Amino acid sequence: MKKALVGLAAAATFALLLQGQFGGITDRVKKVTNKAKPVTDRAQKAVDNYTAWTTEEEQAIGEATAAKMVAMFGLVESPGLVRYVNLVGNAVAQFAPRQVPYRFAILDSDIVGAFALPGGFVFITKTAIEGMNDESQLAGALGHEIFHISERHLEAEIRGKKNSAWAIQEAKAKTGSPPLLSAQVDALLGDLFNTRLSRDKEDAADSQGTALAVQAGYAAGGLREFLQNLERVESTEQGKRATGQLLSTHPPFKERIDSLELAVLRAGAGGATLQARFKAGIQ
Amino acid sequence: MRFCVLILAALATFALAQQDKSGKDATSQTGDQKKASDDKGKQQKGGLFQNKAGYKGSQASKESTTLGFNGIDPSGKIDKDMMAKAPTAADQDKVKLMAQNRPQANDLKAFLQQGGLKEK
Repeated sequence: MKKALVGLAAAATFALLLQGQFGGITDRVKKVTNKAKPVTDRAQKAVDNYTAWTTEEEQAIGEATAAKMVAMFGLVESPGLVRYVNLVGNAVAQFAPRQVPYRFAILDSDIVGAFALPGGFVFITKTAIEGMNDESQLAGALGHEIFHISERHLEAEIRGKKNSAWAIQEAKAKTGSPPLLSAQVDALLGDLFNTRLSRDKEDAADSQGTALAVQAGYAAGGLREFLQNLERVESTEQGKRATGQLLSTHPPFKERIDSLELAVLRAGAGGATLQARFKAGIQ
Repeated sequence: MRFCVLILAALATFALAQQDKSGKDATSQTGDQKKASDDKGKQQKGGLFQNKAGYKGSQASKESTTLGFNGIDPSGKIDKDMMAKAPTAADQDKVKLMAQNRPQANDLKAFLQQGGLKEK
């Protein structure tokens, strides 16, 4: 009984300490926010005066961001698999509205994800590939990322967020502070992993990514079937962890599957699925 | 006196029977826990899906990531330590090498033809 009382008292003291600590932090955050206002105003100006990145800028930003992705996850360097994914990716990318040097790599991660970086860098995780049954599914998933890059979706989204870390960095750069590429890369990746692109951009990437795969000769249901595979495992303990990041930045699988219905119907039946080649290619 | 001894004996028998039962329960529970743990282990080892990508000749570039979920919290979000990783020169070289993995025009053409796919 005495022990319980001591424990309760300690917990209450700790709670008070925490409250004091976070109260202090809250005040400090408020002060910093107030101090940061002029920078945000400058960011606003920078956004308003936005001009699209040049090809060289886009490549440099993409390359620096890709290096950070490699540092974070590591790559699967199986030559056969890398070659196969690049062949499928380029089969689809030849129909992209905007041509940049599209390059594909496999991240050594147990999360399910694919990431489109400026300049044509596409990363897909090993586990995402393992969740596919045939080449049309890989083509559909890569088509989604290719369309994001082709339409410069990430760049547009970041620019549109007036208070994003990227915009603030941009403002600092444009108002005399030295441009810090590494800080910009951090900000960009922060947005990539934590920002939900607007629903219309995701819907467009799903439907138009599917359309690119269909143009290349793949069956239209590829991306939709892959999402159905993910929907089947998302409620398991391991599935939740594997798909958590993807679901934090994309609409729920069910909604995406339903939205794709029309694109698949429009494309009609036919097209290649190439299951046997896929099974051989991913080994 | 004899009556008391009989009661004591009955109580002792009852106590022993209870002890035996709880022992069995404990053993059974430990067995169940072990089975659950084994199943979890199998699931972790087996991965989320049956396919195994890059199984042949796969070489992870970073030992730290071979556990897969390193840097990913239980909700699937990427943690701050992971986000703070800085690329090395070797990482930058790997990105440059990505350009070399782009297929040559004739390789792509053969791939498209083999799969009955379309060339632009």
